[in-house]
Amino acid sequence: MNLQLLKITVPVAAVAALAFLILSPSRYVGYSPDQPIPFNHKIHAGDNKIDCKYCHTGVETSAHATVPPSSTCMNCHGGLGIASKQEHVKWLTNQYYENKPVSWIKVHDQPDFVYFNHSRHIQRGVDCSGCHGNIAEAVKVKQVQSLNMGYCVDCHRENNAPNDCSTCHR
Amino acid sequence: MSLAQAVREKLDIPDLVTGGKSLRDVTSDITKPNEDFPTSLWWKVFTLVLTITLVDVAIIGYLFYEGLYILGINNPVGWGFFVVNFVFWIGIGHAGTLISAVLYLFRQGWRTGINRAAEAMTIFAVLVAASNLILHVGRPWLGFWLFPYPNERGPLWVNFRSPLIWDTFAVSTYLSISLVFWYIGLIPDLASLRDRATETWRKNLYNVLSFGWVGSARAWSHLEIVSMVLAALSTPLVLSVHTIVSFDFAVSILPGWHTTIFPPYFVAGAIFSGFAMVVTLMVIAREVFNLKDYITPKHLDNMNKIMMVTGLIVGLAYSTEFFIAWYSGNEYEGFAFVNRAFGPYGWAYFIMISCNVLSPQVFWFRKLRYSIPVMFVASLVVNVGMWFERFVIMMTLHRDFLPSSWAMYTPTLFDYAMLIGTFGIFFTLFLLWCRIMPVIAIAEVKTVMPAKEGAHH
Amino acid sequence: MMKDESFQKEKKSHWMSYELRGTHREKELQKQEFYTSPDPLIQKIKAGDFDRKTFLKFMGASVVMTSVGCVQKPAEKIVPYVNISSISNEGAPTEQYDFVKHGHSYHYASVCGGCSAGCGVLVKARDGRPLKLEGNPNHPISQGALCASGQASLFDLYDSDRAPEPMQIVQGKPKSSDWVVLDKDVREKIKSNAGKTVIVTKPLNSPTSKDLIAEFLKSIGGGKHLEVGFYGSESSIAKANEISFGKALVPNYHFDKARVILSIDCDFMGNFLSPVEFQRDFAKRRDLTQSNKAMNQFFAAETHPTMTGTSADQRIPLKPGDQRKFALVVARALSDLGVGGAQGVSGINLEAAIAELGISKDLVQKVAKSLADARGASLVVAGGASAETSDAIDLQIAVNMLNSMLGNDGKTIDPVNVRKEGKIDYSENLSQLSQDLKSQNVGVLFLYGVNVAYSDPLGEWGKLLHQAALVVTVSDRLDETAMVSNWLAPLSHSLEAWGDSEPVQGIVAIQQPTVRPLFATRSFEDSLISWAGGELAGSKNFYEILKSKYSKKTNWEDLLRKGVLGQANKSDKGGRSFRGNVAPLASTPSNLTVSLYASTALGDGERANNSQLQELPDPVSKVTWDNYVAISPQYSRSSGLKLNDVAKVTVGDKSLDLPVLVQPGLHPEAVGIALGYGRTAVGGIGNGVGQNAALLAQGKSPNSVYSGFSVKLESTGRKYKLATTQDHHMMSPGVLMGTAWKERPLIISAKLQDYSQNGKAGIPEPEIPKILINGKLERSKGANPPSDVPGSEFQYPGYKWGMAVDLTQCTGCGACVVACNIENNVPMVGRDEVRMGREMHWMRIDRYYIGDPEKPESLEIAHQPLMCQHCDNAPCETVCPVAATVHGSEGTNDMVYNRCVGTRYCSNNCPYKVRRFNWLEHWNEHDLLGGEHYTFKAQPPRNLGLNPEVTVRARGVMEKCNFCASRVAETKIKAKNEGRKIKDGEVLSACQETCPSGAIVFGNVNDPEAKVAKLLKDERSYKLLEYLNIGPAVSYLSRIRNNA
Repeated sequence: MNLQLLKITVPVAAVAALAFLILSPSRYVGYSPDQPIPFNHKIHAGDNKIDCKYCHTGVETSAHATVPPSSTCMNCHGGLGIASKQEHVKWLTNQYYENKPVSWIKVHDQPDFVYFNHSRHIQRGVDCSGCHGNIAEAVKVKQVQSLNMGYCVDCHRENNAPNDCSTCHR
Repeated sequence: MSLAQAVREKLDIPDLVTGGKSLRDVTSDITKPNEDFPTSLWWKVFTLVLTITLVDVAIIGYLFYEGLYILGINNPVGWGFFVVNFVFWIGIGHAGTLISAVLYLFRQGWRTGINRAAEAMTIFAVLVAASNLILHVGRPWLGFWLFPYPNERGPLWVNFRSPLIWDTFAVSTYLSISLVFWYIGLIPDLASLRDRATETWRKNLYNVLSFGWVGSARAWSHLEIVSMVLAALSTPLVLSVHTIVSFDFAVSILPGWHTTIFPPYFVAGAIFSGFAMVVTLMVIAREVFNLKDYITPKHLDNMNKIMMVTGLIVGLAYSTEFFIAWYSGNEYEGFAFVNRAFGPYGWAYFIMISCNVLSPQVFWFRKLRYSIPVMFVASLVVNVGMWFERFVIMMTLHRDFLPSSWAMYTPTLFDYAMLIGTFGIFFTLFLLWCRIMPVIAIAEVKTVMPAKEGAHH
Repeated sequence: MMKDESFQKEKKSHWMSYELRGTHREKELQKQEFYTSPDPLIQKIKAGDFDRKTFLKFMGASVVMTSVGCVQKPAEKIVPYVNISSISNEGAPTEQYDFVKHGHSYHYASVCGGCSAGCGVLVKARDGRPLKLEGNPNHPISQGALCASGQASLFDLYDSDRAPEPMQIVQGKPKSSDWVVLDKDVREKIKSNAGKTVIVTKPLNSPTSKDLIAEFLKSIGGGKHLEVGFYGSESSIAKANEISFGKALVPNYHFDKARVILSIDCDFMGNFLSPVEFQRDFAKRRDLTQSNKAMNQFFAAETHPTMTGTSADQRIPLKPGDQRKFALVVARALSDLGVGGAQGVSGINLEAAIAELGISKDLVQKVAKSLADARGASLVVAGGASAETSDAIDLQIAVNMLNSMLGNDGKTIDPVNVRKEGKIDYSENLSQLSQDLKSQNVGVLFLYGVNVAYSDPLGEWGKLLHQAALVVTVSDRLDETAMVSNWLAPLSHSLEAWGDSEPVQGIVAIQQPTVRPLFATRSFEDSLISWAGGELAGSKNFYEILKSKYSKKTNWEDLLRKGVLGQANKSDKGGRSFRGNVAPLASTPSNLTVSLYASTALGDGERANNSQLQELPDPVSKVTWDNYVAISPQYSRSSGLKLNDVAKVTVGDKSLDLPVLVQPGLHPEAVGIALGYGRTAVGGIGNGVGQNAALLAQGKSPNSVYSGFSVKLESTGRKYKLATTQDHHMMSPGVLMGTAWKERPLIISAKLQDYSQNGKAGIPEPEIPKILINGKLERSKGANPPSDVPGSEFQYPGYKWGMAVDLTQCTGCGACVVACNIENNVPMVGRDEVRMGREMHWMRIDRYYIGDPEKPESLEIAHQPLMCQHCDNAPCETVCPVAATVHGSEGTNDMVYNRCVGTRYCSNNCPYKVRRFNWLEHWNEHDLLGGEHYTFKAQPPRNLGLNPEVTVRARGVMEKCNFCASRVAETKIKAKNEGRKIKDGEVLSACQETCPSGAIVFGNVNDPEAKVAKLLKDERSYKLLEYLNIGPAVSYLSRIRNNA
């Protein structure tokens, strides 16, 4: 075997591997699980220009943006409302009248030891799309930012927001 | 009769290799254990230590799964046997570097008989120590967080003010340097093993291990230079490593730990226990592998002297501690030491004193310095004592500032098992090594052999 | 793997709202809400069932995952409401809820079910779950505070050992049933035994319930209602009042109006009538931060060092049985001082009597003098189990005499707005019941909140109850009595049911539920209604009854919002004239006598399954998880019994084996044993903890004498290690070599008169060692470490959180400890781990003895609450290798659990030893070694009670007090959103909010107007171990005692 070649390739490979480990993007970017029903944000927020806060009522006052109760959907889709023929809407309506909740899958999921507060960020004028991307164009919601600690800390630094550990970890 | 020989006889300097060996004898004697089928004695000892090791490994697995609560540590006493073992084994490790580096630089011929084994001992001791350090944390699987590496957390760096970080660097540096130094020295001997090998597989094995060493003059001079450089590099480590280990305690604010005497006192103690361990091993090795002509009483005598000196230093440190505790006039400090000697763990303190300060005194007498049984027992006793020294220091935790949080530390079976286990691992590695590599630096020993009749210069 | 490991470990329940409704389907859904690992293996291991193979698989898996690293984190579910409007049981949507804001917590006014004191509470509920109780500031009883057992009562709601449904007990075997069957059976039996129905209840302070019971009995054609209580003194006090003043009642006491207080064996701040109210009132006169340096004077004559006694300015150790003698001796001394009104004491030979008591004469004179000087503003109280001697009534009469001699009636004692009125005789009632049972005169017997089989173990209720046609035990669990009755009618927790309470005449509070019953349970009142045939007093449920009743008096909505109707009436009332006859003195047994007392934490033992209470250390002995026989050091020497020896305690023909505890401060011939232990059918946590000391009770059956009879102790030669949170050997000087703690300036005490001359009395000049500051050696002094001392590199421009703890006011009751535990999801660890010194309490109360254990009279007992001191130059911060504990910009020392690798170096280096290491995965049952690790058991329903604002810590990480970071963060965000700063008193730490004596103050030190900032400047303020120059953020105010 060619020793010279080894002498070069081995270190190069090692460095490359290390670089990959360090620089590879967060594995959560692009995470986009299938929901019980394929709720389409583009139609609602995009085409029909429904305000985010119509459904995500808590976003200005609470730590959680909150996912709306089925009753909110029923405001439009209820009875013989909009698209009531559409199969998923049918399913949803049945669930509602059977008093069964919908189990959505969490997309933007922070670790349980991270305490993110929506209201504070909205009040501070942070734009939803900063973290969530352009939802109005999202047919299927997917994670667009790494949302890892580095992401948060950088933003906090730039906007001289508090960077104490206790800001997010309690 | 050569001049050198005459001088030696005049000055009554004993030969470092006795029995009028020829160069070939040297090689064959030393490589014998590597080439023969192991003796039944070896097998017996090896099975024993291997069993201990396996049990220990099982317990480590259990510890990972169960968590630290199976140990005896509790709220005031957050560090127990594991840290004691860590400091103990790091200490053991010191003799190796001292012998191979410092004595090398001082051109101490007698070191050649023992340096190889001492270095091996160093490597294995440090490995055992490091394992204890990792195992004693609450979430060992996150141990790698102690190394500063770029990360996605902001980035979040380690706390460079923490002695434990210094430890991480000190120990890892020490390990790598010693490893290289040790192996570089081994290369020529591995080569001679290769050349003597009859079976092909052994030939290939040692060929790889010896990096195809040819023994050309150029290679030799390179080796000399590298050894010199590494020796220079590792000499400061002899002091630095245990100094930093001592910082784990000295940098804290606990009465009984927060003392400036710790660094020198720890280094002395380390060398003390290190040499004790070397003596133990050498005495065994020269019996088991029949190397009496290479590890002569002279070698052992020298080591015993060093043991006695370092023992005295340690004794001085003990008394100084007490004096300062009283002299400082700090009631907490004073109490810490009174409690150390006369408190619930006083027994440990007096074991420590008698083993570390009293027992080495036997070496004032030449007769005893040369008596194998005496030095064997003494070396064992010293090691026990040094372990207890660390235990005593650790137990400082059990009574500090607020009496309300005073408590006792009672080790559990698992603590004891892990303690025994460290010895199991150590000796398993050591015995294996004895089988595949020469326990004495063949090439170096040859340089200090007494010249023979009619030999040319 | 690392990240995912953390995901599994640092688990805080997810709280996507799903309103709790009793039905099973919905409970299923609740479970879904919580993150469950998709990996069946992990689940298996969590469930604790795994064999060697699984174990190896797990090991293998973790190794692989560690090496391979990335696995997609498990998906979490979001389960929103179906409909944010209440669905009536028919399923038709009704009015929209205004309060369902996910992530918001709301407070509802209600009544604490912890004991019969009836404190008004505010229940913090979030997403439909009660998470914390606080005292209701509007309520004159609790006055915004709450005691330890009140705080812990939240835990009973989430107790997994509660009875989930009605149970029929057939030949001692309970089998599940349902309400339909139960109701049917009960109605039939009532019909078939008309007129012979008996309802036995605990002492009720709910007027409406009493009326309802009467109503019920009327509707079913007659029957009896008997109230039965144990270990209390209500009976004797009422009887004594009848004899002394002609009217049977339990008066109300106003400790805030008393300048001098003499308590004779009365743990009035621990468990006597209304501990929180009394402690709050008592502490009002101990607040030296007010300009005047006056404080009340408190003499505690007690047969056993109680929590209350530790606050005394002068403790007077009594021998059990001598209580009355002491009272009369004081009366005699008073009359010698010319205080009129004494009766039947002229015959007493003062010298001889005092000699018998074994106390010094001038002590008695001192007491008499102080009392005499404070006529009309003094108070003498006696009561509690340990005051229930054979002459308990005479003791109370003597106390009445003392009070009327001193003219306290109508002033510090309120005979008008009383606690209880009319004839009360619990033991009489009980014996009557047993008579009726013996004579087969009982048809259907309802036992509500009365655990006779346990509380009166000698009554042979097991046999007696079978004499009744049907016995229905109304209890929240299958307890001792339920096991020997026919039916268990599961009882709703007080947070699940409607009710009201009137602990003191004129103070009514509504108990409103904050959660639908977790199980198929009913309140006693609702059960009565359905047993009466579904309608009673014209209403279908108790709620309607209450609503209609109080709507007449006031606006119902306002009442619910405010929680209380009427306020304390503390104006002076007309006095009473004492005309009771004082019985002559009987001599007490010459040898060892015992006093059985209700322990501060467990009380009567009804809530022994509450790990919070079991692990709350006894305020004096610091023992957890067991009761013990306390003996004096003197007796220990003479008998050779030592700590942790198991002694055979014999009274007459009955005996118990109990571990020994040597308790300084006991009378040399006194023995103390706590009641309320030794439950056998309370649940997994409380069963078999300690021994039931009620077995030793004396007197006519049912046994009602708990104190003052002779006892024999002999060693069994066995040993039993008591689980204490504090070392007991520390007082042996042999070990301490003269540098004992008493020379350590940890708790700084001073006498009042010294203090009134010099505010800094007893406080050594705080001294920070010489340090080289810009070139010259300076010795820096002062309460706060000077900013120019090297090391204090932090500046706090915004907030700087600090705390002040007043050692004069602290009584060591432990309410703060439990409040902290519940606020911060602090796990309970169980007896074994406490023995190992691994309790997890973030907040502990250190107890130190001051004085000579050989002279119990001189012995003082001091408390020092200790939480993380949040040092400016924190020793823990520098040594953490991974920066898991760092300094916050607001002076807090933040602990980041998810960064911690668990080297425990921080704990070693903490001079206060306030850091706690998670030795176990406390939130899962984790019991491989077979040891007892009582944990929260995060299995339902316990998990519903976790505070979602605080991370649940994993195994192997360090934790500690974080100055209620979650509360601060919540308030800060609120303030920021409103564009303002946090106001003083807007954010309270959990310990501060609950402290009945208001000893803890937390706040922003940078705000000069803040209370805490003022306290830090108070003369008494000092810092613990200041010489270390670590700049703790917690200040202590020295402990002043008024013992001239």
